[in-house]
Amino acid sequence: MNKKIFHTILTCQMAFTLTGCCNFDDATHEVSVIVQLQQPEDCVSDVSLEGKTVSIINGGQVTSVVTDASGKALFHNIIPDMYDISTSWSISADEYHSATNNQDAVSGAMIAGSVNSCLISGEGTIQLKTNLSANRDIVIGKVYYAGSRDKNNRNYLAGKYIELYNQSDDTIDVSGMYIGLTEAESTIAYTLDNIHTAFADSVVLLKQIYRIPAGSPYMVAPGGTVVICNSAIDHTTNDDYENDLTDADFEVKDVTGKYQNNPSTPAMEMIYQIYNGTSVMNLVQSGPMGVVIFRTDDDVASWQKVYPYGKTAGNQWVLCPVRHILDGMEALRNSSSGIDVKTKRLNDKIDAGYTYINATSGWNGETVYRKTMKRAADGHKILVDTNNSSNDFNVSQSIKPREYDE
Amino acid sequence: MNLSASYNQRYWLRICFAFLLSTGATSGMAQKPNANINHRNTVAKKGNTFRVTLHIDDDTNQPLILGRCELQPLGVFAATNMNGDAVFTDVPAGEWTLKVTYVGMEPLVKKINVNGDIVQKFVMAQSSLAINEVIVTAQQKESGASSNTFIGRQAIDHLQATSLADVMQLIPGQVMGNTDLTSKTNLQLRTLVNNNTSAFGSSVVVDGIPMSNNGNVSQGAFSSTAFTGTDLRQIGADNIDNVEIIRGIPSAEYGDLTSGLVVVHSKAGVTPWQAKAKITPELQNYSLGKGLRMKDYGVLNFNVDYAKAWGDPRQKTRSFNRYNVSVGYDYDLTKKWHTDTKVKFMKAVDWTGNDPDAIDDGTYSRNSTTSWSFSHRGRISANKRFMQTLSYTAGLSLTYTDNVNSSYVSNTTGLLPIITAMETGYYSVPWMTTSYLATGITECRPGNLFLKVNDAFSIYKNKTRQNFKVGLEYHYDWNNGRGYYNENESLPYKPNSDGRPRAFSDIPGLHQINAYAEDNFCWEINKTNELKINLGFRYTSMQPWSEVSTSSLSPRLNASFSLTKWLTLRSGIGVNSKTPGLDYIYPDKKYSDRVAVNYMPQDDAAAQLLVYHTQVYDVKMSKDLKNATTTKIEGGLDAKLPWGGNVSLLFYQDKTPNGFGNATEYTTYYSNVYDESALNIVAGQPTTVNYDNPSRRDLVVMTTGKIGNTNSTVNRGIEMDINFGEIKPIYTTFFLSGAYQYTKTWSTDLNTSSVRSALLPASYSSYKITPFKVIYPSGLDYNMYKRFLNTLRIVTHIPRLKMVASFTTQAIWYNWNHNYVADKNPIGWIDANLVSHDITSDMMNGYIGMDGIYYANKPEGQYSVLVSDLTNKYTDNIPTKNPVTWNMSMRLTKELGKLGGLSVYVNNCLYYEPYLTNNITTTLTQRNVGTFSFGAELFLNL
Repeated sequence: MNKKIFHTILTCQMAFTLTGCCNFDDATHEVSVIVQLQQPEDCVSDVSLEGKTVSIINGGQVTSVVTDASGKALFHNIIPDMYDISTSWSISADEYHSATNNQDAVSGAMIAGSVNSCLISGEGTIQLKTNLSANRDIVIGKVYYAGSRDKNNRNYLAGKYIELYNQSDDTIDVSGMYIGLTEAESTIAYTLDNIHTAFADSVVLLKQIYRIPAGSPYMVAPGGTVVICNSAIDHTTNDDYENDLTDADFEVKDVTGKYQNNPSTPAMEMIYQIYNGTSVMNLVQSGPMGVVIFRTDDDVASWQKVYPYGKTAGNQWVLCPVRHILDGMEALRNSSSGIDVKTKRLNDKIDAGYTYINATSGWNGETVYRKTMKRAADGHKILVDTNNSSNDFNVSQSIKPREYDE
Repeated sequence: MNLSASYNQRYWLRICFAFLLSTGATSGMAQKPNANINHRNTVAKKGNTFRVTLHIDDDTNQPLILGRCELQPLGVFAATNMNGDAVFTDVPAGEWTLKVTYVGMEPLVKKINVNGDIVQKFVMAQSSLAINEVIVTAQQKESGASSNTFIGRQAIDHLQATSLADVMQLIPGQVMGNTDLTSKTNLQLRTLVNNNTSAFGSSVVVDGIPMSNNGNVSQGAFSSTAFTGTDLRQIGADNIDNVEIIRGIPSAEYGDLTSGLVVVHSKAGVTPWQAKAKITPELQNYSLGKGLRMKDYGVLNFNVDYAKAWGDPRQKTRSFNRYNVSVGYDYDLTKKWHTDTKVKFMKAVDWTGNDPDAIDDGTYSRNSTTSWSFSHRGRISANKRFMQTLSYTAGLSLTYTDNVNSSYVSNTTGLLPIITAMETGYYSVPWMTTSYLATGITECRPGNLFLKVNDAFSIYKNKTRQNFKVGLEYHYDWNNGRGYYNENESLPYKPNSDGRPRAFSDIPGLHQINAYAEDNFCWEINKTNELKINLGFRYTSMQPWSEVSTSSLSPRLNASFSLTKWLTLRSGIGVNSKTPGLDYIYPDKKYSDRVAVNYMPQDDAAAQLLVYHTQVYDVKMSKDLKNATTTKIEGGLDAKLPWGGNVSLLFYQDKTPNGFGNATEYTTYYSNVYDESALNIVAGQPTTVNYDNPSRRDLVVMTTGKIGNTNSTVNRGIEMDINFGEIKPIYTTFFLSGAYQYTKTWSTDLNTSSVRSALLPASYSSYKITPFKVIYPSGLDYNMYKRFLNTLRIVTHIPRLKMVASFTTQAIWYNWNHNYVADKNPIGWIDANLVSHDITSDMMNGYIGMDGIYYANKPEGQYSVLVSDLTNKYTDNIPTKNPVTWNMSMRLTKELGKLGGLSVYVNNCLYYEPYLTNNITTTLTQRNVGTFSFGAELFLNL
């Protein structure tokens, strides 16, 4: 009997001892985080950082806080995880002139900053860099790269297009403007780190370059658009998600007899392309897909070309200097395991974020398009342009060419 | 190449001469004790040879008809007649081993002492698990000097094989797994990679008739990955009595092969009704067979077999149905003339389509093969001095293959030209703007006629014995199928350059003549030492007296020497050759289509115009094609273990320097492009083209589609087979087999490539044209594979329980491969006039202009390519090494009295399918996928 009591006591003692060894304090707790905005790098005098909205995003859930007078945004009850952090606000032309000492005529400017996949693991302060960018006249307004499925449920990619938008108050001549498509290999040829190491962030790798014909002016009114497509035909006969592109402004003429060339639509000029035996724009339907527009007087075809980082053979991409780029946007692949931000090709100065379609492999008629910020005095829409596609773009299956949200 | 061939011929002539000298010397030595008796007298002298008459009964005292009797090591054969009698004439005096085999019976092995004419009676016992001797594994054949594997009926039953493909798993070095009946399976011996020449060069001989694939023809461009060879699924396992697999150097009697030979013997003889049913989740197989004695009019054997399989029982998107009917009739026309006549029918249907539960959108593929084969074999015991046994074979096989593919032709780009032109020219073509459902059909009707006469005779002289075989063969292969066509030619299944119709019946037939001679020489030096030499020659001539005639002499030499009573050394060297089939000799025409006009006004449908230029090149025939030849070398030893086991160790090398592959050869043509300035456009009217006014003129380089001997392969390795013998207290025998295998393949084809698009202006790259072709050194790139595995089979046989169980464990210790691509500097270029130019090292800093001319300095006024930019460098040349994996299976066979029995099996019985990495990636990949399966077989003897 005594033995039984002794064993019972011993067992209980061991259980208490083991339980006592457990430290329940190492469980995850909510934390408070401060995001401190920094002055834009390009400013010669400080701008006000007070009252700016800072957002942190995790899994589609957005938490926003307004900064105090010192530019600090205090977030409470944050669960430690990976977050995308961003902020943006517009300033007037006067504020731009004052902050930069630059007297160029601009309609205003944007100050924006973002950091992707930032680990918040405990209490602390996160420094958020910001950039200043003057409002651009011509922006990339819309890209339809997802493709669709035809009436027989077979893949259809002939209706892809890129749309440029003039959000300035002036009529703009887009003739001679270049459209570049960024490198999009499944094994990335140059990561942003590689570009930083090799070229100090001064270039973007392009796989295809086209030019709007430079021979005669091509004027775009305020709020006007330029639709550039691979085949300027009515694609709605193949799928309801497709568009009638017969009124497209430019068509990339196919030379292989696989796309219908509309003789009524002016041709884009082909400057460079990496592929053998194709002439049309290769907008990868699942992503990654990046577009830049730029102007230069250089002979673009003679720009330096590079092999994949560290290699001396294979495909070669054109190095486009960042200083020539007017606008850029990037869409990443939305894979089943999530979006891999390491596959970004454009640095923060061109596009600090990314957009994406909902489908993992495309073929669902989704279009990424720029959100509408406001209307100008003459009534044309001003689109959101914060140099961050995560903020600037929406995705839709129903949006049509030359249309934007109200 | 010619020098090499000449050297090879001289080399073989020397070997033959040396052998003849040695034979002569041996004869001389043998004659010394009785120098007055010359060779002729010795053979003629009946006093030295005797008549051995056997009578074989079964255990019910019924005479066994068609029993196969062999006197070892004499190597002479006889078959029992309707009375169960077999007669050997001219048997030299001595003690010989009689081996009698019969379907469904235990092999009878007895020593007989011949010192005069003798008559002996034997009784054979029915095969049963109640008998001590049960063999459920493959055996290394003892009598041959070459590496032969023998797989008997009990092993096939225990394996629960459904087709010949399953049986191949028992060969040393083969990876264990499930055979998917819904996928074609060809024979790959001693190679670690599926090689089309190796598969095409594997010969499967069923009841004396080689299954010919020479008449098969494919449509479109040659593909090195397309299925070639004999589809082993078509041969049902239940009617097989035994299979002999010769991985080494086969007898000269067999030819038209490179890699190996499988000899299948169907069941022949009187048997009870035998019904079998095999069921697994993936397949069902039922068969019924009987060997019927027709009183005094011979024996009739028939077998009916049906198999049905699904690739995945959960998702029935693939199926395979097979029907085999075989009828054989054996009859002795006279006491000396035995005949064997067989008629076989086979129908196999492969189907792939939508799951029955899914929406049927009309996409499917169905491949139906029906074959009829007729064979007649005769054996006449002539008992002449140089014609002891004359045998003949006549075979005719007709195959009807219909391959129907129906699917939606995708039209991702919105403009799909329907090009049907068969001649060079500019054609206004219709087009589709959306995908459409299309059906393409390939009707293939290969036929084969096979005739063979073989004479066998023996010469005995003192301690030497020589069994000779000489023979002649004639093969005729043809194909009178309609070939490839579309159900609706306006909606082609393959609307591209590979989709043109081709009538196979336009292709000439193939004649092949073979002659062979073989000497099986045996010198019994003393009680211990014995020398066996097999020397053979085979001459093959295909399409003699034509432009594509090929011929080859294939000598072969196997030798074995019994060093001690327990140790035998053996080695061999030989050349096998495979004639190219119709598909290789007569490749399809090459078609190249380029757009000339793409005018699609969206507001004027009548004016829309699409014009294509079609260029047709008809290579007609591959004139320089030679037979693919494999030189086989092997050496090894067989040792008997004191307690009853044995060890076999073998080194081999098979080298095929001239397998079949693409032979790059270029032709050029001009193709024009017409823009709107060259079009006559009238609104609402069809647009016409002013063909004399092109806006662009491209010089296009295209390959001719020629086939050549450009594929090289080397296989080498070490095979081992150890039978540790039975541990009697636990009724268990341990077998360990294994192989280290090495395969290297490379191409000797002209290595050229177009100039990379990055180096060209868009006016070249987007039009997919190259100003010149760059030549690189060939033969530097290769694919190399290495593997070492062991298979341990533990067989427990308990006669009292009439049960045998086996556990097999296989470990792949080493699995390595390397797809090596060498860094290469250009060594030349081919200009637009198809003239080749060399690039020397001092030219690397020069330029080649778009005009195809070399310039030391960058030329003005034209785009040019820096020669050093044409260098190809590769950095990802890391071999892949996979981690050790293992697999285990178990099988059990239990007899239920005399009524029949039951077998069950589980493959990958521990369900070991691990996720493992390899040395170059951290990505986890699942191994042993699809190896798990289980099934049962019920067999009844009525």
